[in-house]
Amino acid sequence: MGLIKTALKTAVAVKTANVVHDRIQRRKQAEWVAAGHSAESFPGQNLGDATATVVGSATGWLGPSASTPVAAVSPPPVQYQSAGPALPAPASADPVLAQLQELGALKERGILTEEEFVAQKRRILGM
Amino acid sequence: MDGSEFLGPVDFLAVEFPTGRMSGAGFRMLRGLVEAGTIVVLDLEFVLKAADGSVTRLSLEDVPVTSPEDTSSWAGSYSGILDESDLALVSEAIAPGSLAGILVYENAWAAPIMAEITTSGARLLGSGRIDTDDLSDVLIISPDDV
Repeated sequence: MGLIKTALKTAVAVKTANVVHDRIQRRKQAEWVAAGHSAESFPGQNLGDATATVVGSATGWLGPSASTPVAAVSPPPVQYQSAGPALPAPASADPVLAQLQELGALKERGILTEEEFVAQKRRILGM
Repeated sequence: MDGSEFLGPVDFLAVEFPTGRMSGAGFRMLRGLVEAGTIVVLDLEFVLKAADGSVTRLSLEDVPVTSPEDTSSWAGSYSGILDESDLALVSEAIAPGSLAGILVYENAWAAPIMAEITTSGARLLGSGRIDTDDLSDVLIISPDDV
């Protein structure tokens, strides 16, 4: 009697994380609204956000509707800024540059795959 | 994040709270895992079994907790991916008066490893849980040992 009970035959590494996280996030948001909350109050940056975990602790607790006092759980400002890629890119006067910054942030957060990033970058740059 | 396009293995945790309320301390521990990117919460559901055996889904905010500060940050974690048959299995396993929490989570820590395996030309054959009773058998651990 061995420890491994199932046959080993197929590669099971699935590159669906982005889709799974996105769908889960949509469902959580829909359920939040269905439960009688406003869409704006969805704690998108909270633990409920399946796509936000790469953000780490810095922004993970600063959801707009977090009912705990934000001050009690807020990390120091320096730490907050160090979350860099997860935060919205600063608005740039140059719309192309702003789009590229936003795109870079999305890729950093794992929302866009390398292929999607390259495709969108080409589109923005008109290549 | 490296390997973010790979989905880590997805597990569930079902817990019975016989008093019908929970302390929230477990959530504090889990929060550390989420913050560190070790796990991603895919769903969090609660069921309450009444004294007459009837079962109702509870939303997080309706769950009786001893320290709400540990659970409030989990608001919005409900995605509803568990269906009635899942909840029936859980409710069958708990006593009347009990609260049960079910957490579905991705082992995100494994995603970069999956990516490394794949990009290095290796092939993943499988992964999974090993039954701890089986492990105890292999190690010849008897109840007297613990």
